[in-house]
Formats: sequence, structure tokens, C-alpha cells
Amino acid sequence: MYKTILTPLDGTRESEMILPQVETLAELCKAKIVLLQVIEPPPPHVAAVETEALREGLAHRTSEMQHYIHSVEARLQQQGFTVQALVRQGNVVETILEVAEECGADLIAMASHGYRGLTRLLHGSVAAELLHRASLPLLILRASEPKA
Amino acid sequence: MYKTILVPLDGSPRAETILPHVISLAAHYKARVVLLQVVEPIVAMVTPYDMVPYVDKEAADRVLQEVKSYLTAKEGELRGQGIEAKAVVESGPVVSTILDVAEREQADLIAMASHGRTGLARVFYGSVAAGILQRADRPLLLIRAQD
Repeated sequence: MYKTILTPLDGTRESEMILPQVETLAELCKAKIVLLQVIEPPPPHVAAVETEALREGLAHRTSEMQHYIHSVEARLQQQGFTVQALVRQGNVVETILEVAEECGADLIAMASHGYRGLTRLLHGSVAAELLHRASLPLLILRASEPKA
Repeated sequence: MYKTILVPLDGSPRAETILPHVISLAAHYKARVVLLQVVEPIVAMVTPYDMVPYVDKEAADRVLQEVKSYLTAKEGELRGQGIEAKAVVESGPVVSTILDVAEREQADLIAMASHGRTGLARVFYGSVAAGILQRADRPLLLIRAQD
């Protein structure tokens, strides 16, 4: 039924809570799993001042994330899944939608952090934003509240 | 994995766009489908002699009957495709009633279409799907219905 399942991760334990769901679905549908980690670039006003430090920080973070996502990829491959892991830079929601199109995903499966109150108003959540923009089905699991 | 899929509908064709997804999931998982429509209490504000808002019992019953026959028809369609289906009509506030029924029916997936409002309308009204997204303690399958 689903052929390609896109799973955005962000390196947190909460975001990994969706994986058991993805594994079961992928097994049932013999679907390919695409893991995606998006790294957001710093806002332009910060980028203009702290160029050097930021570039280093970003490079460091990128390699850390690559290491992380490839370890998840390896674990899923060991279980016999067809997996592809990607690390991209850009706006989170935009990038998820771009990659979904690129890899022909027919489902996006992810955990939502479920912000509440003011945090929710200010940041929204990636899942809520996707809900309003994605044209493909979303499988969302709300992870427990982040400790404030 | 999914044994019971809860599908909130509201009588609109947009809400029904989730059904093909639910049907193929239910067929794969041999899951039971619970179709739910929540009726919010109708409060009539214009009254002949005073300004006290009252609940129009007759109108409410009429709506309830319409909703029941709509859901029963949908239930029949699903059964026709070999899927175990059950129609449930409840009244109360939409989001919390959906979550209550999910708990009661032990649904392990809530599947629904979102109306996908954008911009200011989204900030002010949100949507039922967004409300569920913020509060549900179980997996959700959401699709954005096209306008």
C-alpha cells in the first residue's frame, strides 16, 4: 500500500518514538524507509556577525547528525529494511516537503513534540505546519511534553 | 498492528477523503473501523419572549437522526467491502468527545482529514484535526483535504 515512507528525525528520543510504527508499516507494505534529518541554518542577522564560529558549529553539527542518522539507518538495515538516510540543510518544513517529492514518498511519519500554550503559539510545531501544507498523508504520534 | 481505527466524520465530502486510506489500512490489518460523528449542542439564540438562549430539542433530535442515517449508510459501504465497521454518534464538544470515544473503543489509530485552513483563519479557528494533534495520546493518520 505505502511504497516509500519518509521519516523526519531530529536527533531526540521523542522523534524516534515513531520508529516502531514505521517499522511495522514498512514490513507490512514492503515499503522503503527514508530517514531525513534537517539542519536549520542560523537566521541571517546572526549569520552576518558570527560567520566563522557559525560555519564551524554548523559543520560540526552536520557531521554529528550524519553520524546519528546513519546509526539509525544501520539498525533498520540490520532488521532487513530498505533504508536511505539523508541530512539536509534548510527550513525544516520546506525541506521535508521537498524531500517527500524527490523520493516519491506516499506517507510522512513522524513524532510531534506537542508544544502547548505560548511555545505553541510562537513556534507552532513542524507537524502542525506540515498538516496545513502537505498533500500526502501524515502519520503523527504526539510525543510526551518536553520538560520546560 | 492497528486493531481499531477511529474515523471522525462530519458529514462533509472533505472529511470523507480519509476513507480510501482507512479502507486500505483496515483491509491490510484486518482492523475494525469505528465511524464517529460528534454533534455539538444547538443553542438557538433568538427566542420569542425573552433573551434566554435555549436548546432546541426538536432541531437537535432532527440533526441526530440525519447524522445517524448518514453514518449508518457509510457503515454499510464499509461492510460491503468486507470491513468490520461500527457507527457511533455522540454529542458534546468535538475534540474531547473524539478523544473520549478513542479511549472507550480502544482505538489504536485515529484517522481523519483536516480542512487545512491557512493564515489568519488558522490562527483564529484552528481545526478539529489540529486540536486532536495537540492532545491525542495515540497515533494519528491525517490528510489535508483539498478545498
